[in-house]
Amino acid sequence: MPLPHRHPLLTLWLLVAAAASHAAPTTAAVPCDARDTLTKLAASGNAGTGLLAALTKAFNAPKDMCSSVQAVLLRLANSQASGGRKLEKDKPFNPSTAAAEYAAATAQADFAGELAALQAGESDPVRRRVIEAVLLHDLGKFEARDLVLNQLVPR
Amino acid sequence: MNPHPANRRHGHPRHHPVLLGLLALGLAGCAADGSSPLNRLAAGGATAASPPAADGASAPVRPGAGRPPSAATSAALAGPALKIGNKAIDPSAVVLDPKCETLVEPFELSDNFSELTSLGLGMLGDNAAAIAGNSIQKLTGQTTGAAKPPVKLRHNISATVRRAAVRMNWLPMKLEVMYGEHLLDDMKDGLLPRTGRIGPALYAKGDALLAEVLAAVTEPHAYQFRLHISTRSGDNAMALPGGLIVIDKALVEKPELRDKAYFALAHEVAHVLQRHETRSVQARIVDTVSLSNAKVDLVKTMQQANREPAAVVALVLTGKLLFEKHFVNQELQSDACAVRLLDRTLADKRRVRASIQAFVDGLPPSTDKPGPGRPRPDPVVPAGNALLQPGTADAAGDLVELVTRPIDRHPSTEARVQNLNTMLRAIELPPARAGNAGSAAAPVGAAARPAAPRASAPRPAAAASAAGNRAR
Repeated sequence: MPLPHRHPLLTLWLLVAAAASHAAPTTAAVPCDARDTLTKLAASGNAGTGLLAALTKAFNAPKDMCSSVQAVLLRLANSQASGGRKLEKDKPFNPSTAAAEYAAATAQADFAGELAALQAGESDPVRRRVIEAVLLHDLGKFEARDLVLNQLVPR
Repeated sequence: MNPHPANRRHGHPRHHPVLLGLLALGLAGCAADGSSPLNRLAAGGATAASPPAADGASAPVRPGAGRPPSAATSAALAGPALKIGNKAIDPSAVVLDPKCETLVEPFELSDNFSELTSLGLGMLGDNAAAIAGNSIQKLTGQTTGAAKPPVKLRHNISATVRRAAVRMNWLPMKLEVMYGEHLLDDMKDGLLPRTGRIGPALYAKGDALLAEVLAAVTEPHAYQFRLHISTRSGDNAMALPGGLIVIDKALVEKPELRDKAYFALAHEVAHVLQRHETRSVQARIVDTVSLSNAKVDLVKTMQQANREPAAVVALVLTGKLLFEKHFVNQELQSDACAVRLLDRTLADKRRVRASIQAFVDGLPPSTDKPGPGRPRPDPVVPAGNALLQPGTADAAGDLVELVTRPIDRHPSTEARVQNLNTMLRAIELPPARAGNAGSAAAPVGAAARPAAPRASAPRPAAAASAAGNRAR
């Protein structure tokens, strides 16, 4: 079936918009509610008072990314549920693999722009690093995420 | 990925409080709808057929009263006993089908009860008249017929039936699913959503992989398997009760890990189908009670502490070692089931071997001897309690290791490789093809070591070439 005729510029705009919406969440930033996660983090004892203080203020992110904010904060708490049967013992964190993934992720053309948008208005270096970890998490770069988080909370 | 203290369970057996609560609820639920195990046993017959399996497969054939015991029951009766002092205990924490001849553990409560009832009726046999006569005597206060010694009615379940009972899985499936859902809820923040930037594509891949593995499970089962992708940075996988599989993103995403992904999924599916998690909890509950009942013998042995201190230590650790070995054996059984499942899933034997080898390549390097940074090999826990023999030179070191290490830990690389090679032979060298063993039949090998290779886990060139022998 032939496509309806559109102005070439309109078509181009639609393509760009579709690509952008697929590549990154474009909804407006909202405060992500992570109070429960922060409570777990505080209880874990893994985060010092300075880190906790920096995290207390809500993180603003597109609504789609709030689950990534929660996941990253929980990761800081190193909270891991018990139970279940694992295939094998978990392997220790591999910094060199993580560094390679981090380098590849941050070299992506869109990464810097999206990170800058998420970090806009944030001057606290800790919060900026957490936001970077959130973006890495959202992109599925979990080893790179852990590399950033390990710099905040050495394990 | 960082190991976490939460995964290092020390000391005592873990009875998840939620499971215990759910267990009470589940049994109460059974009683409320008239399906109480005791009601069914009292009814003395097989129960009606259960509803069809959740996946739409046809319902299994139910064993009924009067039929010969199934292979599972026969195995349960043949398992080893544990000796505590002078008392012999039938432990529940045993794996009875190490080579996974049966891929799907009986899953309906009615299966196990009708099986047991059948066995019980057969056992009752000659004693029935005596018991009946004794009951009449008690009721009437008069003897009937020839004088017979009174029958002790403390309970009328034979030792054989009791042994079978402690080794069957009594947890209702509904309870198992609730338990799994609870555990999953605990870890939901570490799971990748099915929506978002990367979720849809990854879940499409993961679901397809799982479906491929499950397609080979032709036996009826009660599970609706669900896949969850973890946000951990590793290449591990996990099974939760009730058919929940959690897999690390890398195993789904990276083509170079595809072979390992097959093994991981098959292994985890096996854990579910064998009902390992609930079976383990049940066994620990049952055996803890059994061991408590042996405390008189425990005290007697401890009175001889000056003469045989190691024996006392071994006795005290009996429970822990029993549960530890059970966990290890369940892992080995899942490995065995995974081999059988992969043999059905992957048409090409070389792909089966490659999948097993990919898993083996990811295991910790084998070690001949424990040393700094190298784990101590698994102890051989015998059927008795003589793990630490009097006069053992390294008894103190062993004791520290035995007390402090977690109960839930994986088998050694050596044990896994040996077991996998046994299974490989089981599927690849049936008598009809014994003379036709190509490279696909060669054993898998553990990671290459700088030292001389172990005889128990050889790594022939055929194995290395077939599996790609990834650089580490």
